[in-house]
Amino acid sequence: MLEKLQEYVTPKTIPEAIRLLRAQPRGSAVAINGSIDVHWPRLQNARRFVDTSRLGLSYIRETKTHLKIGAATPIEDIVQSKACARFAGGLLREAALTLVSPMRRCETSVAALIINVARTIDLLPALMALDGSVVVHGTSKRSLALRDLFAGKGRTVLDRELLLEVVIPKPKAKTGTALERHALTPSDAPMLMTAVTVRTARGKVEQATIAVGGGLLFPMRALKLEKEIKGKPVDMGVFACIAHGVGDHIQPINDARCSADHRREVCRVLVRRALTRAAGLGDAR
Amino acid sequence: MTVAAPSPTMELHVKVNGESKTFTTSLNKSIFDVLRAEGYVDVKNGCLVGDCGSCAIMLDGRPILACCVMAPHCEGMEILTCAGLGRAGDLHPLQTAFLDHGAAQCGFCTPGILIAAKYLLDQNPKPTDDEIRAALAGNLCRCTGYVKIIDAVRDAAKKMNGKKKGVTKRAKR
Repeated sequence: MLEKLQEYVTPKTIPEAIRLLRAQPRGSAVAINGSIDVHWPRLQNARRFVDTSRLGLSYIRETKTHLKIGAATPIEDIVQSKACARFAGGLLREAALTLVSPMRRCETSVAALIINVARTIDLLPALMALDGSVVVHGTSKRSLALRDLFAGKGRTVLDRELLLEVVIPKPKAKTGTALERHALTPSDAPMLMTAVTVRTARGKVEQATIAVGGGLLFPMRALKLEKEIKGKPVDMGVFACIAHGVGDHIQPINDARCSADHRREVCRVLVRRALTRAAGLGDAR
Repeated sequence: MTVAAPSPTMELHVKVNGESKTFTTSLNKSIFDVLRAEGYVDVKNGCLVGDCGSCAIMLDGRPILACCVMAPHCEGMEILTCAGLGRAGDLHPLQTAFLDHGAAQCGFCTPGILIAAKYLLDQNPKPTDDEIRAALAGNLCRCTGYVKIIDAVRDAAKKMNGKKKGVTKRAKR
């Protein structure tokens, strides 16, 4: 395990951490928060681990307009946080709880899930549905929408940049949220999952976001369908039509759990249910 | 074919079950590797990939899977293993309840379950059965004896609450 690892450094400041990350070729220095997961291939080739757990990046802060989650915040803190419980109808807390092991929640940070594009828990699609973005620092500080971050299986577009925090705008009034997942057991990786938000006014959809994950190489937003649903009546027939479109739009994987075709069908069902619930039309099961 | 240089060694300073310790280890090892090598056999080798919960320990008061946490990360931290929960003749209420209920069958998963249960009762002294099940969701018992385990945790919670109430009453007098 980790046979190439030659250095384990624990910087005390953010500039020092960035310097230590950037002093190595791409892929050779990896920021971790102390815990590792054998399913994350990027760790195997690392020569230097930069432990970011002592940079003061573990926090959850609520401002008037945003919720900010530090990159080193353990998933368990999201579960325990009162701010997260009331934010966006508890969507983040519900998604965080899909990492069912309290031990895993205590040791795994938000950054670890994002950087390794973790597919087994529902937090990334939930953050994407809420229009979350990340603040990263490499040569300079920049903000990047989560929907533009992922580049492939276990890969992001970041190049030796340190993830500092996740920023989520507060949803506007009358925004409903819902998370739906299909898995063999509550603790199993989902065959597919979706997180949606729907804002309605005068019987019409003002805005909706639809994020899908779990059974894809990386989570994605159905931006085309989100445009399409805008202005349409709050109606289960409309939601079924949009959900069908999302099923066509995604590129699911084939694996031991189920086929890509089955995932498309599951996606159509889950998105329809989630839109219906988020729009306040009740449980569509 | 090139062979990677062996990972350098380091000195790790930790407190284990209340005792200050210094261990020498390669820096690519997990804290599980270190504890097992140093004779803490109550930290069990189940799957080594973070799926089974057998290697659970407390790190600075929070439960973690020892197989998934790098040893250098634990520098200066406090570790509590199952053996540190109580002593012979002075067992933790959870340990007593597990004995009373026969909640350990082969006993392999028990140390991890005790750690997970301790964290639950630290956070929530009066858990419901569903909350107990949720708290133990990361611990696999291949003997499948979950019913007795849940009974034992519920019983320990009751006894711990009773004890606390007793202390309060005496203090009031």
